[in-house]
Amino acid sequence: MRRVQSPTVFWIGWLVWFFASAYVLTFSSGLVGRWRFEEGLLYLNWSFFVGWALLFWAYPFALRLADAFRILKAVGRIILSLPRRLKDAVKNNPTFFITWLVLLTGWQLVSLVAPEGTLEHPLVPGFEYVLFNLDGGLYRLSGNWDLVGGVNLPGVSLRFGELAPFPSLEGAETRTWTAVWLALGFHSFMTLSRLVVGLSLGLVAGLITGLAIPYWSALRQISWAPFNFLRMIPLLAAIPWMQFALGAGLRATTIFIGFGVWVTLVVATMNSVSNVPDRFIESARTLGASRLYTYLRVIVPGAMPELRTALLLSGGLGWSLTIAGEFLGFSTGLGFMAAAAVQETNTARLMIVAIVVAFYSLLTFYLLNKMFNRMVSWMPQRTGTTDISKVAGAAGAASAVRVQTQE
Amino acid sequence: MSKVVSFEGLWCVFEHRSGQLVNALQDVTFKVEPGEFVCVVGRSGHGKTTLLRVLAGLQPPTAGQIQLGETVVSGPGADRAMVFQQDTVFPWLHVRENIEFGLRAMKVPTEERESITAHWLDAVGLTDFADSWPRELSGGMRKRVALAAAMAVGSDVILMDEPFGSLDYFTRRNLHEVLLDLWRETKKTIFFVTHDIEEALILADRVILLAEGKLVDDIPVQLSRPRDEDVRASTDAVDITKTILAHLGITEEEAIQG
Repeated sequence: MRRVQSPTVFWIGWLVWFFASAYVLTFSSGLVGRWRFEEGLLYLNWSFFVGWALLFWAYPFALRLADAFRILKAVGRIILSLPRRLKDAVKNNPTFFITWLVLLTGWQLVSLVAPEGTLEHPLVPGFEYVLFNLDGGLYRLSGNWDLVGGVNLPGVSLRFGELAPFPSLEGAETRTWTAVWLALGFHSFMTLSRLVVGLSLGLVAGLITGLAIPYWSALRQISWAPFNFLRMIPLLAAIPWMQFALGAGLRATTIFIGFGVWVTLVVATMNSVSNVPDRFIESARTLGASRLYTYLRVIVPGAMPELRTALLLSGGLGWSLTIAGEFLGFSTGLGFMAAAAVQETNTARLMIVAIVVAFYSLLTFYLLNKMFNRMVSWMPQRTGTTDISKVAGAAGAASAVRVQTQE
Repeated sequence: MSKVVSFEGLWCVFEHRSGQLVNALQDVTFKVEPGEFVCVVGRSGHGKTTLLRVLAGLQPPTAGQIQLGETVVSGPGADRAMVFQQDTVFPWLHVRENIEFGLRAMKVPTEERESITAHWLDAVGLTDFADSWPRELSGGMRKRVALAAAMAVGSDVILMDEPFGSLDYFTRRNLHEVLLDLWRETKKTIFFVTHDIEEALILADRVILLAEGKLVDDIPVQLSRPRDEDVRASTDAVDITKTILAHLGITEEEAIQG
């Protein structure tokens, strides 16, 4: 097949194929005979997912065979190099690993000596209880595999009962490890979809508003106070109001996350713009740049270093708002899983959710950082090898004196 | 074509935070012919930079006006490009993009823009650094970028506000040579603010002396060029120096003591 030239067309095509292939499989259930599609209800099973995965990967293999092999090889190389990378990381930054080792060991020691308490679960659970005990943390997450009612999509309603039984419906004896991973996967998907949509809306709207307002000085003066007032509203307190006004669905959470990120980012963007040094603006004007050209080519890029920090912090804020929103008023998502763990006073279960959230949050920070670093590639980069204590202020002077004394 | 620059009864009054009025410029009147190299000399805080900022259109005068030919200066424009005391090279643009910044702003066609940029890169000796980031250049090289960017927009008048003040002696002397070469080549009118009398003697056709915002003297510098050590040690040069010092209220001994 002819190679698709435009990368954008290729990627958009792959995304469309992701959804289209699922519908292709749904409506070909009679032909394949490995899953059921009856009266608009699709009973999902593992054969369906295997078929979907095969069709999904068929797309790049059909259109970009060489690239697909190259990517697979690269992924393989990365996986094979992981032990070496880990070894290098330990060698280069042993303090990081030692700190974690001390913390984890400390936790385990505390779990041995801490009083058990009168509750069903220990207050300080050890790692065996958190990870492997069938009454403990991870395994009890199977209780969150509760998609009994299914999910309605355009033209098809999904039913999940054939993937794993629902312990919430069929009793604690039906708990399975499959249900644990399905619960984690489903609730992660719900949280991430809310976060991505809400954060994207908030970032785009915040950047546009924050960059547009300072261009007109009258608008800047008018909006400064209201925006700072909005920023001061405790966002967590706004959750019930949002639910009351907008309902407890995806739309409400998305608007809530978007609103929180938007308000914060507008104020941060306005600050970044006002902190661009006058000398750059004046220089541009004397070189013949119009007001608009100066704004777009001098003030906006000049604000980027400060704006980058604001954007990264917005990512963190987006996570906080998503989890808080789910914690307080939704029946799906990682925040809901945390709330369920709290209701059960199950510290072990709460730990698992916290670790998963921390992992996603770090991943988001890493991806946003990578993306935003390109905007400020012109800035002097720290190599990370400079020891500040040896070059800065009194510490530097003190060590210099010591060296002289020794000589 | 270069135009006469006329300063007519220029006043600039600022209100201090305490409410006190400060006369940064007081009734400054003089004319500069096309192609002249004028150094504005005075002590710190005596109105040199204000004069240049009013000429650049960055600061409106309280009274009076500046005319460029027949046109009254009413705002900033590429006909009066300015090189600032601080580093104003845009750190987010490569050297080449910095030099063509004004040309892009004025929508100069690509081919012409590239040709002009290449010429000025060569003129300031930075062709090999065209694709470097400003952070990769020395202070002197960044000043050359700023100078080339100002020259490239085709201004009749170039304004320079103590541009080499932060550089070491050797870099400054090198940049004096670069600037004088460009001035001879382009015949642009240059306003150069400095508090360094030696620098004024090296560069200027004429020294405008400001003290407490008033024009206290307008001294022609009719020394032969190039103005090497011998020329600067000549009787004429020493006389000019003494005149300037006297106006600034500094004795020769004080000047020597620094």
